[in-house]
Amino acid sequence: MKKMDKELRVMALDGLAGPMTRRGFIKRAGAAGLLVGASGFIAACGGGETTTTAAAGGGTQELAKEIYFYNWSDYIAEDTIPNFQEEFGVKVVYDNYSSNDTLLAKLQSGATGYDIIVPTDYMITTMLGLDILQEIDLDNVPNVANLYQRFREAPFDPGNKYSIPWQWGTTGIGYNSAKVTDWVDSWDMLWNEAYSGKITMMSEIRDVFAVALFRLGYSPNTRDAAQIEEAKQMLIEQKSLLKHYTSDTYIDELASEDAWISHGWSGDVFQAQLENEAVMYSVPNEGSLTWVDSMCIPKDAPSKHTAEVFMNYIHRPEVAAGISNYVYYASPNEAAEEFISSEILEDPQIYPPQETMDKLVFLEELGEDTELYNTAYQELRAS
Amino acid sequence: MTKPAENGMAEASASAILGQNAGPLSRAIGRLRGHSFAVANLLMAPTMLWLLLFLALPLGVILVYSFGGRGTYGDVIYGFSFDNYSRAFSPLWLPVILRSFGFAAIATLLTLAMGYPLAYFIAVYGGRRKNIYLILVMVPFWTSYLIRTYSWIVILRSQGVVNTLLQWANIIDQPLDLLNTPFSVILGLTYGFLPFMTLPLYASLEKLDKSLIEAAWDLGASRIWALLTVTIPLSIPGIIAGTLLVFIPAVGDFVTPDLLGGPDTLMIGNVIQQQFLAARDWAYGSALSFSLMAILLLGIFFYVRKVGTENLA
Amino acid sequence: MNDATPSTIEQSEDCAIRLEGVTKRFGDFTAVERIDLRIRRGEFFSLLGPSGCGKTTTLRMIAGFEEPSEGAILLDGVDVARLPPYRRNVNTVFQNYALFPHLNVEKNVGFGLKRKKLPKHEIAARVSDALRMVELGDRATYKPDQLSGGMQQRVALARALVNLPSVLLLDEPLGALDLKLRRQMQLELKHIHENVGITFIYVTHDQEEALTMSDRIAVMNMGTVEQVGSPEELYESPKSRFVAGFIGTSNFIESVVTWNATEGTISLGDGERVIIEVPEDGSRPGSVELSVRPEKIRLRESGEEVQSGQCMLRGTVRDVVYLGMTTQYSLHIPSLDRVFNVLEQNVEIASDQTLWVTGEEAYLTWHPSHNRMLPTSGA
Ligand SMILES: Nc1ncnc2c1ncn2[C@@H]1O[C@H](COP(=O)(O)OP(=O)(O)O)[C@@H](O)[C@H]1O
Ligand SMILES: [Mg+2]
Repeated sequence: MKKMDKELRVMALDGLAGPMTRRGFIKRAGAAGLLVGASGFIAACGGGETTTTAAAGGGTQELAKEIYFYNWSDYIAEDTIPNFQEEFGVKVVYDNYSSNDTLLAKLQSGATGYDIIVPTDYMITTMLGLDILQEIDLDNVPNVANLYQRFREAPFDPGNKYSIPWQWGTTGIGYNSAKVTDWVDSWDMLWNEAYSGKITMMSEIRDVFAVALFRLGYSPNTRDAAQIEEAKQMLIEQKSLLKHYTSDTYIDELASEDAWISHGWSGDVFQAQLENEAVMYSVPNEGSLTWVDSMCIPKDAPSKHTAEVFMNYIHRPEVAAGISNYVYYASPNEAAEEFISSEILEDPQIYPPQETMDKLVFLEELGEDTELYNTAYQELRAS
Repeated sequence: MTKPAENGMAEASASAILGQNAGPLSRAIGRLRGHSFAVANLLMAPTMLWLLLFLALPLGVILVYSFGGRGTYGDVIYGFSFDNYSRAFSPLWLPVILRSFGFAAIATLLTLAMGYPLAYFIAVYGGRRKNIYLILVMVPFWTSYLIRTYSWIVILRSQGVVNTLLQWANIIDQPLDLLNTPFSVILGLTYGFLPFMTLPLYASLEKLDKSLIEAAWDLGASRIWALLTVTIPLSIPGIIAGTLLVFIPAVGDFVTPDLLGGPDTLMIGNVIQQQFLAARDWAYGSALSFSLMAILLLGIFFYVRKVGTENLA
Repeated sequence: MNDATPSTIEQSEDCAIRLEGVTKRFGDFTAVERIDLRIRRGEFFSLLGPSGCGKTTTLRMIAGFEEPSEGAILLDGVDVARLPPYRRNVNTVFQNYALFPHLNVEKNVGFGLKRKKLPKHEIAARVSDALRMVELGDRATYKPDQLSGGMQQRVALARALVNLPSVLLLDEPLGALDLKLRRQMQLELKHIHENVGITFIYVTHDQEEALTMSDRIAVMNMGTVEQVGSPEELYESPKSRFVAGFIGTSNFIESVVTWNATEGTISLGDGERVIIEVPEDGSRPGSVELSVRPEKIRLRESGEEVQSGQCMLRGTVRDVVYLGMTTQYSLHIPSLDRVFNVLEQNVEIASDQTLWVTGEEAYLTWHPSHNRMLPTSGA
């Protein structure tokens, strides 16, 4: 999940526009340039023509003139779309969002005409529950064979019936190694009084509780009210040590050393690292969450077939590797390994070692029991 | 087009406005209330439609939601239960509500304290530069509220402008914790809503006949006394408008506490926002919104009655 | 009072207010230039002049709303020019009344007394006296916007007078009223002035109003005072062409004069002549500017009817305006190439007589004592 633009969440909700951080701004400007460049390119090749192509596994089917791709912002390589457009003659209309909530709200507000969206794991369950996704014809996506096995049998969608993974990462602790002298390998760090006022927690309900549940040795997907209550008490104790709850500004705060220890997403912490070399990332020993953003096709997608062709294109090893090399997130594509720069591949923060991998858990949509967390979270924040 | 004799002009123009046969309707209204009233009603129709579409309709939707419940996957289940309301009025939120009203009240008083002299200065001494000053007051609106709030982070953070200056001047040696405190939230609200206070105050002070102030001086009132007995009482409409324009959105604000607040500055707007997004409990969020709206409406009613009539006694 | 000449006032120490060399500049523009005024205690004094001549500015400097650029304003002998308005025992009746819209009549009138921290019962008593004086005793609890213009005017007056100021300033207080109400209020104001004995300084651009109400008038023009005097003095002995023209109407003659021992003569040939009495100071200027009031002139059918010691001009009737009691003629005088105004009393018209008609030739005649010699501005 590309969280770096979480800060835009509120803005999107407000109907405001425009990025706020310098980083966001630069990236935004770049993305806009990319879009303009892409359409210019299409015009140059006369890409408006309908082209016919043979999908690897199936018969011959007409490709649509254009598909609508709705993705997290700054989450793609510069050449990914232009290359596809050139090869297939299909124009990709690229649009961005910055939170799952925004994505869902937009889809629920009615027909949106998107062919591909990229929700996060638990959100896929939600969307399936709301019956707004359609099944993918894997015959058109033979490249799913390139995926790591664990992404072929992810708990939220075993067999990739509805989702093809895009990129993945972990949740952990970002910290400033110049300020934090203790060894950071446990969630206990977030309760360390020595760093009172310099600690931030994310504001996502389930993510916050996952920290306390891991620390207590429980599952982050527990439906046990008593365990959740225990976690809540633990989080209430923590409140006085916190600078604040934030799922967006901690990138800046880590970089500017306003925060020394932040509960956050791997990719965000790497963003902070680019600005401040002292910033490190750690996945605690008690275990942590992993997440994966996956391409899905909404029920009302106008060009399902072309969307599947696009998904298949994405999972060509070179294309998948190109994205990772550009955005610094791990690829779910095993075959891509040989094209991914060793710098990324050998970074344990991006590709964690096996013993860490074993302790990573996906958040599961809990249906009715989500209410337990919602209530506990309200009590936590109101306390 | 039928043109009933008894309705004459009113009927004719009403029909013309509607561009169709408006006979029976306006005839009925005309008989009930007199011709000009009927025309006025029809002239107001577009406004009414607008209000209906953009105010009444969403409110109606929220009202309907608020009696429903949360589906397994965060969808709204329609129903008729007061559960959400009893949850909304649970003691859990009392501190949050008190905090929201408290922060908003302090911010309102601060904007009044800053906006009044500012508006007075522009209205009385602005002269030919009045418009420039007004534009300067409004300049912040050219940037999104979010960006302006973010800039306070840059100003207040430990390596921010304020702390750097104070440290440079050797006034402090450790950075002050200015950010993520009630202070920073109130500051953000005050800053963000200052124009909403200044502009209505300006409008009422501008209208104020300057010879009334001279009359007060003439009758022996010092500057301060003239301000208290003439200028301020006569700018009450501006004060009412300004305080409402600041207080109401400030109570429900969630951006400011979200960005500038700490773990203990949760406001009711954050709670409502959480229901609509993170918790995806739209029914509960709707009930919270509606309850807040009801409390505010009641408050406004008493406030306007009290302040609006006090000085007229 | 009317018999008090300016010279006696200047020597008198009993001045309610004295302006000495008062000048007001707004940027490069001089609105009021070196004004000297001495206003007697209890006097009804008017500032009269065309719009924009600086009357309001002068009044505002006395009230304290404007600070003079130069000069002194002595109120009861003390220079108040730099004091704020609330430290001067002066009150103003504003042209637009400036009643406090949020206060009722009673509170408006009591506003000044409340500031003086008088006991409540005394305030109440004085307010009700003041309201009775302006005949608004029954309107004490009304808001200003519930009153007619005339009533508002009287509230403004009561609000100022109730403070018993040394000087009451009134800036065109009747300007917003219709003519009939205006006439009535003029009388009432005059009446109130006589009763309260407070010095009134009254600003108006209406010469008739100034003439009927004032003890003395200062005629202002372009920021300066042209002449100060009683209405009679100003009318009968204007000291400048401006005053002669602004107060009533005047006919002007500019010419070279031949003097003998007893009188001067302007000879225009063919029997037309203007005879001038030797001025009191005995001066005999070579050329003069004279003014003659229209009502001093009589019309005759022939030159033979005119006595030898009288002034005589020949003219042609241009316009006839019948005004009931009087008839106003304008006649062209070929010898002067001028138009003269003449006001004839209609009492002299016998039933068989008719008015002069346009195009008729007439002889204008008047007694030399009606000629007013104006200081020659150019000389
Ligand atoms: N505050 C001011 N700034 C600039 N000019 C002014 C101001 N007040 C008055 N004046 C000018 O001074 C002159 C005299 O004004 P005023 O005293 O109001 O005249 P009056 O009352 O005789 O009509 C006018 O030309 C007017 O425009
Ligand atoms: Mg004036």
